[in-house]
Amino acid sequence: MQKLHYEFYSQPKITSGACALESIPTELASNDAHKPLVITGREHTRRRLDKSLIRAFADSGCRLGGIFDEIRDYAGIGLARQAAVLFAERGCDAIVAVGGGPVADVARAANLLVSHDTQDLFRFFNGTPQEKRLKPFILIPACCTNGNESGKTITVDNRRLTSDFLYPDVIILDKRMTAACTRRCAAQSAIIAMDNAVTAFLDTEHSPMKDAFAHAGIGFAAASLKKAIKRPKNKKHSLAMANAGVMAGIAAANATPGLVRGLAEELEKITGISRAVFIRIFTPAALPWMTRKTGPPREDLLLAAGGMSVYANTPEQQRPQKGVEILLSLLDETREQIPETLASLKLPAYQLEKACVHAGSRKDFPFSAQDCLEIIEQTQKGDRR
Amino acid sequence: MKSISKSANKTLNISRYPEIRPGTKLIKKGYVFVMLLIVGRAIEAAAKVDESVKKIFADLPDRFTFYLGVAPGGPYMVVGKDRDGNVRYHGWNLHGKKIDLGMKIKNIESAIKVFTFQESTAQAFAYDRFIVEGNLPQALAVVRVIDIVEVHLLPKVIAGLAVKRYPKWSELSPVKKHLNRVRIYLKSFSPGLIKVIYRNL
Amino acid sequence: MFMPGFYDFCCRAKTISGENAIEKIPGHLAGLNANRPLIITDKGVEGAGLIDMVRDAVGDELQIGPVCNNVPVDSDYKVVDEIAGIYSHEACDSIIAVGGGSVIDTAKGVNIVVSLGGGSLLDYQGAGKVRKRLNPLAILPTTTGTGSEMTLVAVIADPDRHVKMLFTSYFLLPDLAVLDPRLTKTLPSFLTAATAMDALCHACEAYYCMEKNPMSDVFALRAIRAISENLLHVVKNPDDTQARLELANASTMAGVAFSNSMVGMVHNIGHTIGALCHVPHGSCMSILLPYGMEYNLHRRAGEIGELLFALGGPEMYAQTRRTDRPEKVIELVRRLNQDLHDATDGRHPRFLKEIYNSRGEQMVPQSMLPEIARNIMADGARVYNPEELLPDDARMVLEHAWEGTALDRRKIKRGGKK
Repeated sequence: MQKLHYEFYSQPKITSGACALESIPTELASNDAHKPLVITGREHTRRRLDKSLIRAFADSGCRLGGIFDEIRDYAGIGLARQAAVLFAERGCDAIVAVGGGPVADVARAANLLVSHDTQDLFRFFNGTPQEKRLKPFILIPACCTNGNESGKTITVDNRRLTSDFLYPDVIILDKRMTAACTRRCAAQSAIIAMDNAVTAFLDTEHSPMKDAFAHAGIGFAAASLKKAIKRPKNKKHSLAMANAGVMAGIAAANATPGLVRGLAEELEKITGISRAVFIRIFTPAALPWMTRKTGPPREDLLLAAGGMSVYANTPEQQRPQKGVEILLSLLDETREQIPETLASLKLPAYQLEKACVHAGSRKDFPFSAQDCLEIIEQTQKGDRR
Repeated sequence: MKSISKSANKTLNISRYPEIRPGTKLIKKGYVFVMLLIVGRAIEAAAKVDESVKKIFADLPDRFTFYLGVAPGGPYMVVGKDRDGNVRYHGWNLHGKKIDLGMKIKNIESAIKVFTFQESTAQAFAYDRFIVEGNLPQALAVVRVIDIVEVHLLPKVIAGLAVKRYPKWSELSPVKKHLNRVRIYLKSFSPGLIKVIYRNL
Repeated sequence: MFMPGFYDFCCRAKTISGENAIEKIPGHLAGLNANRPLIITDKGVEGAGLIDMVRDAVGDELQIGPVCNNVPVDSDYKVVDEIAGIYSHEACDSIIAVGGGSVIDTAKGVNIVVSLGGGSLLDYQGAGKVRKRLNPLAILPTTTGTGSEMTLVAVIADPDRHVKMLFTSYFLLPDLAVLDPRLTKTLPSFLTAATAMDALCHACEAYYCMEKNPMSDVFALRAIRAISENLLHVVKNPDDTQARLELANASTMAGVAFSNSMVGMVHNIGHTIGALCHVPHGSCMSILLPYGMEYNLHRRAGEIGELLFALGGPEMYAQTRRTDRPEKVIELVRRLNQDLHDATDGRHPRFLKEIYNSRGEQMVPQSMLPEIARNIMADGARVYNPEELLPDDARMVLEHAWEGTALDRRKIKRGGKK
């Protein structure tokens, strides 16, 4: 029997569905806040997502302190400082972020600055404990997401900070906001969500709560992935995929990073190519490798991806393998959007090596640089075949 | 906050990010206002006509007054028992009334969902759309009254959406049902309506 | 995955589970800048030696403040105010609650008063009064059923006015929920049975009632599976630490499920019987659960059928025809009650007429049934039941549950479409 020695923490309240946006003022009020600063990206205001948000605040008695829409695809300290100035000037008392990864990162960095009334963000990255609670932070995932926004890790200027205090307080999932801009964006978000959930199922520490979040994440992805990629603007499926992203993100925040995840993150940092591409490329080789090394993923993977009937009708010994098969076939749905081979990226060998070394030296990462190199080699072998 | 402001201020033109005062949804508010007025008057009428509504109000305390409305700024309807135990619709003003129970729908969009019968009252409760200020059993009694009133006011196709169980013909004779319905409609739009509107202005 | 039109979900308490979970409390409290906790418990728990065990486990790392063991069976606001006074006087900075439902509710109440700085709990009645983060609170549940460590409600009585005050806020969720098998070691087996059946009931109702949502569904299924695999085993082998930890986890996960999706008529009728006849909550739950399923069957056959996967295991699920699954689930719950009845030498009741108090008197006389049925209208859980439940319907259900006969399905009034 699996031992139940674990810790699990999920701070956010998830609100999803009809009128979710309209519930923001009530959520703010229940956190004793009345004037939020909105932080979002250029692309989001161009798609007029901010207008939907403003409409949702009608008749609420809340004012918006401003809409700071300078974030593109990089989270830097400069942006966080500017947002913090705007926050202070307008006398805001909460932050609402509309968008994915970098938007949420800047918003939380700004929250750290205003809550501690400081300029020096990186002291927290260097180990100074956070003695103050942050201001209420509401996240509205929109368009492309990278799975970190619902968790407790932020990346600012390529440096990572993990803390329980960084979780959003409320996550609002509303179909007016979740539609993806392109098929590629939908495919990337979906791949990251699945990897996050699989990370939880591969983790050797068994926690039923983490598994529950991963289960829901994979379940939504399995049901909606195909349609969400085919029609990225479809409201129903994009909402389901956003749900998957959030749930898998929370599961991953409670799990040790998997091999693919760690390696892909480092490669993203070095090459600037989305982490999703690397996950897509490495997973087929990495899953069998992980099975040999740390044991097969839990059979819950099959339950989540295939549903009750498929699980019940599969003989017990075959369940982990069948789960992996379904997962790989889901990944395959993205083939038109995401490159399948490492060779097609034409990366120089030194970049791959550097990423392996960086990943191997990470403290939170249970694998060595050698392990990463092995995966890359096997992937290349698979490509040639 | 001063330390933050000093340095970054130069690089940021804050007037590019104006403060926003969200607008108001007048048409939706108006619709809900009218619906509340009709439901309020209908409760008053149903309390005279329908046995189960009569009984629910009889079990509530003397001079019990409640409001149903939309948070945070209305519209509202106030209904209560007067000195003699008769149920009265008191209009839309909360001022100067002693309220025992407040029920607010969290926002106007949710109220629209309830009053266009896209969500039944039970569903709206389950979706956590209501804020109840006061005693929960009393709130449940009020919800029951509203369900019964909806059955009287609305054709079966719509009321079937709004309540969990539409009463069977066998329980309520068709003659009595339609008679009750007509009486409630007549009472709701009687001259008393003008009086109550006048009093609230 | 089922996606409702709208849902919200929150399980904000950090869960620490394991055979040495209690030892980890000081570290987590330090992360919340606290190291002088007040302990709230009741005399039974203290008498069972659990407080000494907790003291030994946390060692010198915490400066443990006073131990308040005066929590009554139904939490009471005067006790809350009294404990809050002690907390301030002794300059504590956090609370550790060790006990069952009423201890947990009292601790939540104390935390409101001491964190928001008022004189009395009465100042914080009403919706939306608790809008700030409260002081660190760690909950160590000693039963395997209430799930209160995962709920955002505290029910505290005002004995002078004869009312139960309901406090609801997401800030009432504790910071830590500690699941350690040492905490449930002293629980008598018939109470293990009753409280775990309570948890099973939370999970089942969460799965088929109106506010069901994808997250509460997965939590509920996992809880049901763990309970059906471990309950009978734990009742027969109370020393199996790992199985007891599984049960404690199941209870907490069922707590998460029902806190986020609410419960239906089983709780509605159960609460009413509890209030009028002072019957232990868990006993009512286990008796009424099969009736709740039968009553809602015509609206929720699919969902109830899916419970077979968790309750009977995947093999049974695969072997049973789809249309037969719901009936099989109801049969399994009845059989579980029978097995528990046998394993506890008859102390676990199967029907309402079998509930006796310590003096051997029947606690729910048949003559009370009409009054119970009349009073069901005042309980909130009624709203979340899929099928309408009115006093006449409740009376019908109660009579069957009293005798221990299956419902006469023809008597169930079916309203409308799904």
